[in-house]
Amino acid sequence: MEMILDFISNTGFAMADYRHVIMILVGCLFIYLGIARHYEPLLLIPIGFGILMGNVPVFKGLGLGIYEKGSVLNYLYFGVRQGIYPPLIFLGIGAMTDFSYMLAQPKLMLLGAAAQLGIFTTFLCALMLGFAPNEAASIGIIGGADGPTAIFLSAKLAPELVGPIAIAAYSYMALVPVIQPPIMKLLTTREERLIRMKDPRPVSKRERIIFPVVGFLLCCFLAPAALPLLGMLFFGNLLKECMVADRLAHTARTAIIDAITILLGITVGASTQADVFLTKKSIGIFFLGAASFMIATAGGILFAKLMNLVSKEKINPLLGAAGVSAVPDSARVVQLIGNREDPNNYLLMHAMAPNIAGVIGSAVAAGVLWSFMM
Amino acid sequence: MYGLKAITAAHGWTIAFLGVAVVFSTLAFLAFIMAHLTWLFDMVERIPRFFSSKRDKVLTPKSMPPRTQPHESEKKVQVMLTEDEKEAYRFFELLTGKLGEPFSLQEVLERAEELGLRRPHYGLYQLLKKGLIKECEGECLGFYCWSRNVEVVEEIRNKSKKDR
Repeated sequence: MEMILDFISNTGFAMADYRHVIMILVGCLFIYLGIARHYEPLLLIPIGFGILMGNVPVFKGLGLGIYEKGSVLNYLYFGVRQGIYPPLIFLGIGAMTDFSYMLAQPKLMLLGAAAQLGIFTTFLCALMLGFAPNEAASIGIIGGADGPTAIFLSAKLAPELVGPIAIAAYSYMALVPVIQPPIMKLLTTREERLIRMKDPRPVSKRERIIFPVVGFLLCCFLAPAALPLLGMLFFGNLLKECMVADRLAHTARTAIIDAITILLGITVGASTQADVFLTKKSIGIFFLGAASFMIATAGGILFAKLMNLVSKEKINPLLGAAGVSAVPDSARVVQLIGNREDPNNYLLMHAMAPNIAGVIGSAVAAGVLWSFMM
Repeated sequence: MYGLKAITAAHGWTIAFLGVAVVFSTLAFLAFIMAHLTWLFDMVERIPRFFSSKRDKVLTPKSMPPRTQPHESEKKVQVMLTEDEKEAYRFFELLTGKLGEPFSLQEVLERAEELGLRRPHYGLYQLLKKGLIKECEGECLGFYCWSRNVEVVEEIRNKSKKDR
């Protein structure tokens, strides 16, 4: 009888409390959103399942939990703690991304820079709310809407906050179609949303090959701390564009990015153990992350309007919303909103320009913040 | 510490201002360079073209006569082109007129791509296949020029009937 009671007291049912239940529900919600609503399924399903894995109550000391040295999950989490996974994700993104939309319209790159205002505004807000500078910088980067960059910076500056920051960043990335449209409609008039953009010029192969080299050197000389992220991003793109390393480019954009997404998703999800995750700080991070994302969207739109005041050729201000680096979701949202006003207005390829510039911008912002906090 | 004091104590204003400035200047500088890259390419291209035009002048008398003057004994071959091929023919004729003969196929293709010609490889391949463009001989081996003994016609006269 004693053995049976012992066994029962060792089960997850006996050890669980309300916090585990909350986190398991959050995990189920992520899985639901990924499968039923198709919100970033490649990210939300691994993270959601990781949340379930991390919130099964286990005995501490058995080497099962993600924070216990020697556990399998702890070994896998090493890639997050040391910032190994995010640059590998960037390698894959680089090998997938076509920079020609951006090269055809370089002035739209400024919208990608403007959308990074959210990062620095939120950094100031987090400082005001009493977060330490390192933590504030990690929270601010959520506004970049770039999960790997957020994980990379928080792993370097505030490792204890990686879980909540990653969850907040990926949640808002998944909720781009919900968060951005009201801001876009609020800040633009119908006439502005109807503006049609000129067709982009064709970009030569030579330009596409030279860009990753020039872009890498320029960005990393200006912000050397962005080297791990931008180096891999531009390297991946060079593999894609040079056409003579197709096997490597193919591996980077399929096998590598898929394997790393699984590892990153599962470990980030598992790092949200109820006792570590459900704190006042996490709630603050979620609020600040949402604010950061909204400010970033607004920053891009308002800057596009500002450009319209000084430029002869009008830009559709909706494109500014694509300056956040949620590739390609925010560009798709721009296309959707533009299409609602004028079904023949095709903004997607134009929106890809600030969208990709946003990836570069948020990586530079992360590098800048890291170098200031070191 | 909370509020504005916390920002000041952590040098928040400076970090935010410098951060925004670095991000903006990086992307603005990158945009500026990429916007002027095509201009830079044109400049770089003009240098070898300048030298090749000089080289042309030197080589033409010795090695280039066949490409400009058809041999008297050579018959003019007539070829018919489809609408797409005609378009490519006119395009490449204008382009090579600008670049000068002999021309490099790679350069012509790149320029055609830049200028937005549809399927430039296919067009050029058809012109080569029909003998309108030929590889030069002698010192200009590796470069190409227009073949002067090939004529583009609307309809080919039926030779067999004529011969009879």
